[in-house]
Amino acid sequence: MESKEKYEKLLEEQLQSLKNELNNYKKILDTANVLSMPRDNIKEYVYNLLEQQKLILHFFPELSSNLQIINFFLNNNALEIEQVTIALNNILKNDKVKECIDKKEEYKSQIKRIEHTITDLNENSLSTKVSFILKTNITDEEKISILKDLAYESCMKGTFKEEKKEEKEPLIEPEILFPIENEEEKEKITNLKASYSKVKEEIDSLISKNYYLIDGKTSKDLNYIKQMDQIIKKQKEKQSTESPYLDIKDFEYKNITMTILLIDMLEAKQELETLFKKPNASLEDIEFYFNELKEQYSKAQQVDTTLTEDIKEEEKETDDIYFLLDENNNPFFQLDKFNKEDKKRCKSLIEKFEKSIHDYEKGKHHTKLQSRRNLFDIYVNKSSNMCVSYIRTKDNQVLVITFAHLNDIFDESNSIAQNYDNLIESTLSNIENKNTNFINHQQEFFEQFKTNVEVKGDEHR
Amino acid sequence: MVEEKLDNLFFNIKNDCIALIREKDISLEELSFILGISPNEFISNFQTRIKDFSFYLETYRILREW
Repeated sequence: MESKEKYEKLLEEQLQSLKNELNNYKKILDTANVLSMPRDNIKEYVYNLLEQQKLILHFFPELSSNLQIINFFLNNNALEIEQVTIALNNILKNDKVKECIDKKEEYKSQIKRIEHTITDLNENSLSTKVSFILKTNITDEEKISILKDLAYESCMKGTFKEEKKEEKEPLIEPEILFPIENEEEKEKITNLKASYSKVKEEIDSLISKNYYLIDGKTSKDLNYIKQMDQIIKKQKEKQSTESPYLDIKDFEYKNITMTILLIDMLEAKQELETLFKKPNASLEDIEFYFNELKEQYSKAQQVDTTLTEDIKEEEKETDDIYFLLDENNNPFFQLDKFNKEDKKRCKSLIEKFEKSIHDYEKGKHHTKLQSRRNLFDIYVNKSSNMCVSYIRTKDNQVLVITFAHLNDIFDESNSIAQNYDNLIESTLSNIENKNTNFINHQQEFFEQFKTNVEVKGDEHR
Repeated sequence: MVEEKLDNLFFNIKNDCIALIREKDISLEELSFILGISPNEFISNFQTRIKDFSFYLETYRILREW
C-alpha cells in the first residue's frame, strides 16, 4: 500500500476512534448530569431518571433492579413509598455512580480536547498530524515516508500563503523536517551537485563579466528592474494567456535584459547553494532552482553575445566612407539648407569617421537607432547639435545614411531606412563587391561634399 | 492582471522619470538621443505605454545616473 493511502486510512480510523470516544464522553456526561440533578421535586427527578434509563443502564447495568422498582411505583402513582427512597439511595450511593458525578468537569475537558483534536485533524494542522503519525503503530520507514508527503504538501501551501501575503515566511514548520532517507533521492541530489559544480565556473564568469550592471547600484536604482522581474516571473508561473506575453526577449535595451538575468541568476544560485547545504532539502526544490539557473544562464549567454558583438565592433577600424545616394546620385540630406555652423559640424563628423571615432564606443549611452522595423543596425554620431546616421559594414566601412539636426536625426534616418531598404541593400552590396562604377560615383560625390562643407569667411552664411 | 501591474509600473516610473528630468534639468533632445530615438518618439512613448518595457527601465537608469 502506498504511504499516502496508508496515512489516509490511518487518519480515517483515528478520526472514527476519536468520534466514538467523544460520543462516549458526551453520553456519560449526560448521565452524570441526570443523576446529579436537584432532588427537591422527587417526582420530576424520577421522571428524568427514568427517561434516561437506557443511558444509565448502558454505563451502570447493576442499577437495573433499583430502576425497575422506581418505575413500578411511578406507574402505580406511589412515589411517596419508602421503597422508592431506598432504591434512589441505592443508586446514588453506588461507588461508580458517585465517581461518575464527581468526574463531570473532567468529562467536559475531555470532550473539549477531543473536539479540538478532531478539528485540527480535519483542518490539516501539521503538528497534530505529525504527533498522530509518530504515535501510530507503523514502521519508522512508513512514518518517514508519510511525513515527507506531509512536508511537501505543507511546502506547497506555504508557498501559496507567501504569494498571497507577499512576504517571506518559513515554508515548512521545523517539526516536520526530517533527513532524507530515500537512497534514490540522495543519489539524484548528489548528481545535481556534481552537475552544478561543472557549470558553476562558467556561470560565475558570465556574472562577473556583467556585474558592472548592478555593481554599486542602490536598491532604489534597481527598484523598477526588480519589479519588472517579479511581473515576468508571476506571469510565467501562471502561464498567463494575457496578451501581450511579456518576456525579456521583447526588450530592445539589452543591458536591461542582462540586468534582469543577473538578478535572477544570483537569486537562483543563492537558493540552490543554500539547499545543497540543508540535509532535509527536497529533490524537487533543488531540481527547480537548478533548472531555473540553467535556463537563465542560457538566455544570458545569448544576450552576452549581443553585448560582446557591440564591443568587438567598437574595436574595429574604419576604412572608407560611402554615402547613400539615390538613382540620380543625390544624397538624402541637403547641404545648402545647413548654415555655416552646421556645415562645420558635418565636416567634423566626417573627420570623426576618418579617425575611427564612434560615439557608441563610449559604451555608456545608446547611439543606435532603437527601431525593430529597421533591417540594419544604424548608429548615430553627434557633434554639438549636428548628427550623422550610418551603417557599419562587416569589414569596417561606413555608409552614411544622412546628416540632420539632433531633433530630426532619428525620425529622418528611420524614414530612409524603412522606405529605401532596397537601395541600402544594393549600396552595401556594391561596397562589398567594390563595384567600379559605384566607387567612381562615390569618390566624385565625396570630393564635392568636402568642398561644400569647407567654409571660408562668409561664403556659406 | 499582468497588464494592470504593468500599467501601475508604467505610471510610477513615468512620474519618477519626469521628476528626475525636472530636478536635473535634462534636455529631452539629449535624453532621447542617448536612448537612440527622436524627441517625438520619446514623448509618444511616455504618453502611451509601449510593449518594450526596457525603454522605461533604461530611461530611468540613465536619468538616475545623469
